[in-house]
Amino acid sequence: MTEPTNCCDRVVAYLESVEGGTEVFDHEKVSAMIGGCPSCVARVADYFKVLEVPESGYLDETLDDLTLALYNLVKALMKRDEAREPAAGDAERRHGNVLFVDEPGDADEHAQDGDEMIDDVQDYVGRDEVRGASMEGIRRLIEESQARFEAAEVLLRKAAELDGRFSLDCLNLLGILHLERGENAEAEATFREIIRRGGGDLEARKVQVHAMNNLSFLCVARTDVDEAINWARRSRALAEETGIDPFASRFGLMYFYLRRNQAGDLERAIEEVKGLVEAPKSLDALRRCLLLATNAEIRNLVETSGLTERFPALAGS
Amino acid sequence: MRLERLRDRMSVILGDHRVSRERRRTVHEFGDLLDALETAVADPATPVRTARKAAGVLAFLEARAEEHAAEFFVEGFLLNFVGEAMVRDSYVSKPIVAFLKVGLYFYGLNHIERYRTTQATDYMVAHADALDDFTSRESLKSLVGEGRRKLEAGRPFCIVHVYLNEMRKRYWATRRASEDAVDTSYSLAVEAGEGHRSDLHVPAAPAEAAPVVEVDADAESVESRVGMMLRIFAEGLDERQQRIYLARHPLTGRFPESATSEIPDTVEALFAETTTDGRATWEDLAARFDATEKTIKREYIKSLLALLEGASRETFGDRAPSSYVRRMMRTLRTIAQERDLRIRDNAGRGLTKIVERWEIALRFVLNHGRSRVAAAGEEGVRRRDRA
Repeated sequence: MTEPTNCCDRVVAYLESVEGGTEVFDHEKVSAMIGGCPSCVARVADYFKVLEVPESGYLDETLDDLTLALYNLVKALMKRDEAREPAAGDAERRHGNVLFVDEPGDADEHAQDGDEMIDDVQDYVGRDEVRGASMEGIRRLIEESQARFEAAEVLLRKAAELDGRFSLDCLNLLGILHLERGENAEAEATFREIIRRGGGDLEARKVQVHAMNNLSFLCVARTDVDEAINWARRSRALAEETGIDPFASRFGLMYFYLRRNQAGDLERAIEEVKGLVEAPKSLDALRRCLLLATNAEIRNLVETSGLTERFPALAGS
Repeated sequence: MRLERLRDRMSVILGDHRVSRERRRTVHEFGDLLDALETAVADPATPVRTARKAAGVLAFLEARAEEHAAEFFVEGFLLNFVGEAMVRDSYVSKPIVAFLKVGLYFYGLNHIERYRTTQATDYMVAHADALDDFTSRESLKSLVGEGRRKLEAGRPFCIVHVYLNEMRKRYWATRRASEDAVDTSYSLAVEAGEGHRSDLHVPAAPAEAAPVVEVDADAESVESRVGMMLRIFAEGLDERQQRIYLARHPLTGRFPESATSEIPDTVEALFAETTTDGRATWEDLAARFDATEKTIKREYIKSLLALLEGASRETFGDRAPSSYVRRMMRTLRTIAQERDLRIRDNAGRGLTKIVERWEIALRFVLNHGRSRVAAAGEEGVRRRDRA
């Protein structure tokens, strides 16, 4: 095969190799080939004219935002639930042991955002059903969940099915709600679903960190501390890999080592506490966690193991 | 009834081979849009509110077709009418977005071929990227909001005009020709053979590789522009501002010797002591200078203003011919003077966006000589067209 001799031939050969997949389009390279030749410009323009114009990402982005609004709404409702005076028979609906990574904000605002996004989705696709979910159904659930918290759980399941960017976060929250009510089998199935569905997306991996961590506490609840340590270690490794705060994983590991109390476990727990007290934010969170009524067992283990003497910063907890 | 007349006129255009291929393609796409809108109105599965909006858009297009009999099917007009209908009814629907996306794509290509011949490939790449962003949720929502405000104020809304402006901004933002003085000042690592731009805070600009600085006839002019910026940096910024600016834009190499001949030793010493290990955070800077983050940001904004104002004054004199540059300077001045340091614009975007716009404005000023050459080329094309 002979080398192209003029600019037009070179441009044609280059564009053919781009179309054939042997080269990646490099506009600087093409610019250099073209120089000031009008027929070369026309050839490149023809190349652009046959490019397929990809569909807009509007729908995907709207569904991403919708799943985020629903996730935040349920978190805000949990917070609202927590703030009000408990009524008789309400004990299973307290969420004081849930650590929120971000403050959930105002429930009314999230409900309004969700409503607006549902309008946008319906306008865009021209029908009510999207990805197997009825938008009007979700709108009703948003309204209902503000009056009746049980509806929020159905809402989370629907949000998880929408397959938006924050669907896994919704699933994680659903798992937590199961965990709070002692529905351990359902909680485990939910957390495992997150780990299975995860994929390579950074956001998804962040949720996996939390799911693994939640799974580790679930293992402790059925007294399988070794398995709990395994999940917490995986969670910490993934947190470090994805660059998020491994606080929850470290806190879990500290507790699990103290609870197992085998040879070397105290030293391992000390290592985890060292990591926690070095970061000012983690230290504050650690103190808050130790003060939670539901964490009395952990607080007791920290005190009896001598960790408070070794780390005076924990003394106020 | 009016819709039937509209369809008849479309059939005539589609069958007339004297009409340009581009226009027939747009009219064909418009036919698909009409079909989709009619289906949305008639289909009982369409949510009531959505069907009402679709009917509103159809009625608007029919009315516009009656008013603008001759021009209705000219590509630019048609795109503007559909864009206005979308904004008026806040009806962002799949068929409308698809029509606008395809229509603007081909309209943009024709525009580039006709008026941007000298930078055609750069513009085509910027065009393909800009169009993707233009039809994102964030952009469409802000377009509808902005468009409604314009219409309510009795002003026209032309989606083609809005888009071409976006494309032009994208072109300037992504432009990284080797003789660009801003690139040269960022990418000095090339001279040290590192070939990587470690600190590029403009999300829109490609960050994967540094431009190769080739020694050519324009090299002297590059050095003079870098020299000018260094002079403004040395004279227009006080020492704290210089330190803050360098902490946010760390140097990764050295400047050409001839460019540094006019700057004082103290500033050269400052360059020498500037670390290259990444950009300092506002928190670090506040601690380093024993001031609040707000004060540090204000000083940073002031330094951006001084650099842009200085470059503009030296290039254009008292008044920059570009309204974009003038607006940018006005924005920076207002932010720096306001007591509360409001750095969020109407769309809620913050300092990063402002810095991005500042860089586009500065690029515009520094590339002024090149853009004049390009404009002369375009004028030549227009004259040929008229002939």
